[in-house]
Amino acid sequence: MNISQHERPPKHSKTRQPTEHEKILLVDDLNDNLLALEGLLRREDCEIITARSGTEALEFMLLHEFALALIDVQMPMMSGFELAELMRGASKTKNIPIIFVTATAEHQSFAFKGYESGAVDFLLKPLDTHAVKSKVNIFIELHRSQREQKQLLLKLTKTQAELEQAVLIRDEFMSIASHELKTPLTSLKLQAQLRKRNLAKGLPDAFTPERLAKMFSADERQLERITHLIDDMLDVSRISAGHLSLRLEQFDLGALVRDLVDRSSEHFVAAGCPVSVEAPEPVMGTWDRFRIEQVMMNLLTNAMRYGAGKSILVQVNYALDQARIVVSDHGQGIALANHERIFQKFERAVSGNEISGLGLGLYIVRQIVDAHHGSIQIVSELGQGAAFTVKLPGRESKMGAHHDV
Amino acid sequence: MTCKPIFIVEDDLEIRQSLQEFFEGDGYPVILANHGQSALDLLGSGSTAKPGLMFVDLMMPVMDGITFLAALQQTHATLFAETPIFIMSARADTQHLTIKTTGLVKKPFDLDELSNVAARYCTVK
Repeated sequence: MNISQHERPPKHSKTRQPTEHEKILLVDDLNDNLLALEGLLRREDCEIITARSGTEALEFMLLHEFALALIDVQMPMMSGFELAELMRGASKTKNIPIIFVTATAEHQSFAFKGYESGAVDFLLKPLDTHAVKSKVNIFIELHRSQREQKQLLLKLTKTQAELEQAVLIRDEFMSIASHELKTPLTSLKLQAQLRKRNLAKGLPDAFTPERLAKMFSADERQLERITHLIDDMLDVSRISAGHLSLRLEQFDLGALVRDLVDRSSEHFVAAGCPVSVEAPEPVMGTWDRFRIEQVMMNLLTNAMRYGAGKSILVQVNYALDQARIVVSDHGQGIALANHERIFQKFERAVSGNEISGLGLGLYIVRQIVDAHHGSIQIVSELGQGAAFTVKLPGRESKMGAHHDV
Repeated sequence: MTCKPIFIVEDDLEIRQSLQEFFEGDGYPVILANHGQSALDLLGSGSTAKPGLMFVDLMMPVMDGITFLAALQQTHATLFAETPIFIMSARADTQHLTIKTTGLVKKPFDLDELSNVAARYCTVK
């Protein structure tokens, strides 16, 4: 998945570009003729460019993409036909349709090898204004529809590539998700069968209060693992479908962080990563409490997972008018090359089969922060620990009561 | 009745412990490794008895199951040829595997199936 997909497109993504002007090239050695033709052909959706010689015309053809060239046959130095021959020789110019303007009818039988039928036409002087306009219109319309087709084809090719990529990612995701879900399930089923057998064998030692307590907390851990995985999967599907809605309320970010860290401190201390919080003043704002907790939990879990058993610091304060949370660890750090990648779906800093989780944590974090119109940044180098900075609109938050991503 | 050891390569601690409890409860000696590299190290050190059977997980950190089996085939050709090897996988098929193994036990496990496999290869009568 490429990076640009994470920069969400504007709500009303442009489906149709403003109509591009078709360009017409007029080539005649006489200025009066050029002026007369230009006056005749002038229309809002076309740009008319005039050239006084074949050489000048060729220069323009390299600069612009023309829907049509009207070329006077009888010109000094280079005749209209000679110009056409030269145009046929270059890839940029060989497909420009030509209308020759000529005084004699005999030219019409002139054979133009290499030109598609219909790509060359003739207008006889004196010009019939109606005939000129209708011929030019036909070429303009033709060029416009060709260009639209080309754009459609490009769009289709791009969509197809994206779809193919999406299928690949889905397959990989299914494989990782099933592995991740099967692991705690395997453990639970194994334990269930073992206990049944031990019970049947009448082993009294298998069910002492100590062992029972251990079993229950092991079961709880596995169930939490499964719940967490499913929550992540649901969040990602909500985000993909554009349904990550925020329930906004006003609260103190510092209090939320302190509370969250207090509740889970045991967990972090057990992992050897005690968390300290620096939140010197209330940081008020209007956010989704549950989602911001999720952001914090994800960042803290990451800091713990990659934190190499060292302490973690969380700072909550104002940065100008924005609320700022910084989560810093002293772990292995993240190489600069991976800074963007880790926020993408199904990515993790450690590659290959060192699988732990679905690789969705930071992706979800970024989506939640984006939904709050905030930003997330990482400062880290390999071996130097990592600091994630989340900034959210604070104080004068102008968010509505309900927001959809 | 004596039993040959069962060698288990599995990265998940709780699964490893449960399998150990199960097999030891049935009288089999159990050797544990938490990934392919530590399994290779263990076998290379010569400190372990020759296993009668191997259970190998596929997705593991440091060294996955397939890399481990390929390395085992290279460095311990006799052991690889003589030891029945069962893949432990959530996937039901083994066609995608590049290494030939004796069989597959599907996760989540069926303890009766594990018990039968162990009885067939590790019970010495």
